[in-house]
Amino acid sequence: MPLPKHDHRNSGNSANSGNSGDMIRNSKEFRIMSPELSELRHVALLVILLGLVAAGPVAAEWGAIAIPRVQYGGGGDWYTGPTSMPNLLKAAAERLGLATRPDHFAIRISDPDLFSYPMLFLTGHGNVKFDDQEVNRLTAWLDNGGFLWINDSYGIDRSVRRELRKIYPDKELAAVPPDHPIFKQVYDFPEGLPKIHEHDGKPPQAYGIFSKGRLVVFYTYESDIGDGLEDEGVHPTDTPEVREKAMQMALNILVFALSQ
Amino acid sequence: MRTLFALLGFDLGPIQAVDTWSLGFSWGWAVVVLLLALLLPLFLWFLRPFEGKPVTGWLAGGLTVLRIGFVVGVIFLLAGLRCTVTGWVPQKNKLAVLIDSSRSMSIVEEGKSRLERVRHALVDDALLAGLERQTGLSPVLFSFAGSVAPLAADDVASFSIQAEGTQTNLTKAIGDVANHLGEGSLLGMVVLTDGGHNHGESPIEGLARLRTPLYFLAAGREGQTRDLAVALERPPSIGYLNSMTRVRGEIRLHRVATSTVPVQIRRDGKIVEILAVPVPAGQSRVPFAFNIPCETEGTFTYAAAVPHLENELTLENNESGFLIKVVKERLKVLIVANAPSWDLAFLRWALKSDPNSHVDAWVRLTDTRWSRMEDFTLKGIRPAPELGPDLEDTDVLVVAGIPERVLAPHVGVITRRIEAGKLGLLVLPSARGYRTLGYVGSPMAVLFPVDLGTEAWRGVPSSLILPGAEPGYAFLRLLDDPIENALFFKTIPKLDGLFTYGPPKAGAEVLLASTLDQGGRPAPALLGQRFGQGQVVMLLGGPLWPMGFKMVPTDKTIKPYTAFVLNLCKWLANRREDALVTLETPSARGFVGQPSVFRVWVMDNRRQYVTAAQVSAIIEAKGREPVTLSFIGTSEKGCYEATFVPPWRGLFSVTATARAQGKVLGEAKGEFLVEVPTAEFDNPEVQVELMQRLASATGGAVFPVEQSAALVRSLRATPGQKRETRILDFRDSYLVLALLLALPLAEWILRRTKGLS
Repeated sequence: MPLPKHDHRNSGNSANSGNSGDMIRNSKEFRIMSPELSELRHVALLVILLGLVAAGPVAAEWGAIAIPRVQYGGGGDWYTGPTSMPNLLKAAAERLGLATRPDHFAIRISDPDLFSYPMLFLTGHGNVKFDDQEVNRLTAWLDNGGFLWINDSYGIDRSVRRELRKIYPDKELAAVPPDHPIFKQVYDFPEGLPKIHEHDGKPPQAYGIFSKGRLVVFYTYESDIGDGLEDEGVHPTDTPEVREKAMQMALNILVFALSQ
Repeated sequence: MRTLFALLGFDLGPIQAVDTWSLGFSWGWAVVVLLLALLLPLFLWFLRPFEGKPVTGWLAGGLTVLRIGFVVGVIFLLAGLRCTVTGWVPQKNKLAVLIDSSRSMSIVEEGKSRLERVRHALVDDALLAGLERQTGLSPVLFSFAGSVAPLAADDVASFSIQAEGTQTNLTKAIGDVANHLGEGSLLGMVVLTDGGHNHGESPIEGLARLRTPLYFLAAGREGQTRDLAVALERPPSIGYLNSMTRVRGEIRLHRVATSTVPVQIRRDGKIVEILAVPVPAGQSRVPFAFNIPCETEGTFTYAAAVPHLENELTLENNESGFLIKVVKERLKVLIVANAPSWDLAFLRWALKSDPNSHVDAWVRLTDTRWSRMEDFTLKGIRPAPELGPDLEDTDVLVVAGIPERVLAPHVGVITRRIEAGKLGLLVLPSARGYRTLGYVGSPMAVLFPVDLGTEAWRGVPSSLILPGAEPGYAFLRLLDDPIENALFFKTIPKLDGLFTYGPPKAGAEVLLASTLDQGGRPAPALLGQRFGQGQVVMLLGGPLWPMGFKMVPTDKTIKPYTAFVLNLCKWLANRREDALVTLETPSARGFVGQPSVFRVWVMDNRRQYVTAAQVSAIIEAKGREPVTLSFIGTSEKGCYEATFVPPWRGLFSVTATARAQGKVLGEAKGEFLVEVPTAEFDNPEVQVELMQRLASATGGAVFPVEQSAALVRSLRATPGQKRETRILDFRDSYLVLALLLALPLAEWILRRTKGLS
């Protein structure tokens, strides 16, 4: 099956094109507020309220899974693909019944709220850079139980490897083999990481950093699962089958992070 | 010449024969001449005008000579008169004799033990006197087995040596003597042994650099022994309940011709199995194995025994025993969850920090897809959970939001095991609550400490509060100081919300409360209920994972989540919740006379290692006086060590107690089986070949112990020599002082007798 070529003109995509730099400056509060979604929310709220009246008062709202993206320095477009995480979390709620908060938001590593999120998503094109304070903080976050998913949207490989060497100077990114549990948590991927988006004609490859027996960093290279998670039409060349594969793999990653 | 110097009070040390000697002065001859030229005329001038007595003739001359002699003597001493002596020093001036006192020396051949043969050579044949005659050196005596010890001449004369050493380390014994006496001074070492090296580095390699000739007197007769032995290879010390433990051993045959050897397996003295071990032709070592079924908890003494033969070398190696403790030590936790969550991830993470824990999990992913994890590893995806086998032997069942229908088929097993105290139940909150999951009115409802029908969600963030300053359970004591402990719980990240219920059931206990107000009282956050002999704990709010993930500011070194979860689970499992002191015995058994190192690990309530504890242990054996051991800290944090040398064979019970600041932290008990080591009889033949190789490599010789005279003759009587010089200062000689004082005394006597005084 021919895979869609990466369209770099669309890498910032519709939600962030143009003045994305200004839009994302305080992106913690950034939300997708399309009219359709807003309407859906109102309907959902109504349904919930009706449900509460009918079924009783119990409806805990704690432990909802939220996955912020990392707002890194260095000039790379960390904001690319804003619909990917919300779509993943919506699918996790629908397919797995997980309590999720399907918001698109970002945090800096230096953000005081970093330790409120055990999982982070890092993606983009171009250069990734962490200053010394961020390196120390990210190391503590990972050592304490954090899980970082890095999605190579295109062209971040070199800088990601450089920055990871700062965090774990004594550890190398190791290939994660196809028989690793991350490829069979919810959906089976006997061949390992699926190819979602074509970049340089290289095969997709999953890498990881293991610390104290735990996978702390999962790096999807030359696959671009993030693109496959975005809203339909953002990448017109992504077929529904390819997008489904991306979603399945992303759910596997999420469930693995919750299970290891 | 040596005698003359000795008469003057000088010791020439190792110089045996003086070759040359010369006199000189520390200040040089010039000083002497100058002093003489100055002082002697002065003295003579002083003498002549001030004598004032009618002294004439020979008396005047005599007195003058005496005085001049005295003055010259004083001048010589002032100038530092000294003698430089050069002589010959024997290079090899020491001879060592080593006597093997290991147990193999008690082997009897032709009616005489090996040690008796040694005694004959030393006492009856006067080996030591012969050596002294031949070399002119008085032998330095040692006995050895696993280590070496000096011997007095009287010990040899009375021959009080016993064959008691439980191992023989020739390498160490010879090496230690060479180091102690200095290899450069050693003429040789005479070793009376059977060569049965069985411990430590091989003598061929370990003594490869030795240059001191080794002379062996081989004690024993070749080809005179026969023996049947059984040995066990690292027998297990711990067996887990409802499992089989495999034990491997070896039968050793020495000059025994047989096709089968029956091996009795005994438990606590009773025969439980007899194995017929086939012996292939020509083999002297035959491996065998047997299984121990660990069906009941407890400590059992197992032994493997082979038959006794007529005229057997020794019967001590016909049986080999060990102690096995069948335990259910592993903390087995089963998690059944409706969905993966961070709380479960961090719960598993906390449990994983204890190597003794084993966590299995069934986690629902979709209605037809459940992930099965065994000991933290994904084992597959199943359409439905298969809880039956797991529930039979799990210690703690963790239920997280699972519908009642999943547990309903197993409710009988769950309640029965909890009632019997074999299972603890931890109920984690469900996102939808338990009321909607079908528990109300179900048989499972009796296990809950609350009435599920009154369930309500309060989404108000709240902190945890200890209901009392002194919590009754160790898992709630994360800090020693009660006030700090209470404050610590308050600093734990807040819960997002709580489920509230009506009043807890009768007998239920609020283990942790919250800052959330419920009818004027703090709403409970953690409730406990005793059910039969077991415990049920229900957490009413969440999430808990932030307390493990976020750094709690009061003490960054504390892993509160880990300690809290582990201690809570151990308590639920009906284990000693204060299992803070762990005794580690070196192996399943020890051996008489061989040091065994006991280790004790001490932790506090926070599961942190204690470095300043006082640890002691009492070791008791039936009918014997108890022995107290004091432990000392090691470089490993929280680890304390003590060495115990078992004096007797038998079963010892060990009770270790750890104290800190006068308070008992905990106690650990264990047992230790002590056997008589049989290594000395593993290879009972006299090892002549080994001795020959060592003698050949060092320029020595080997003789049967009966031919000790031949060995004496073979020793090189003329040791190598080297020149050495010594400088003797006459000011150090008492005789020179006496001579100098004698001169004025002689004058005084002359004057008295001649009426000149």
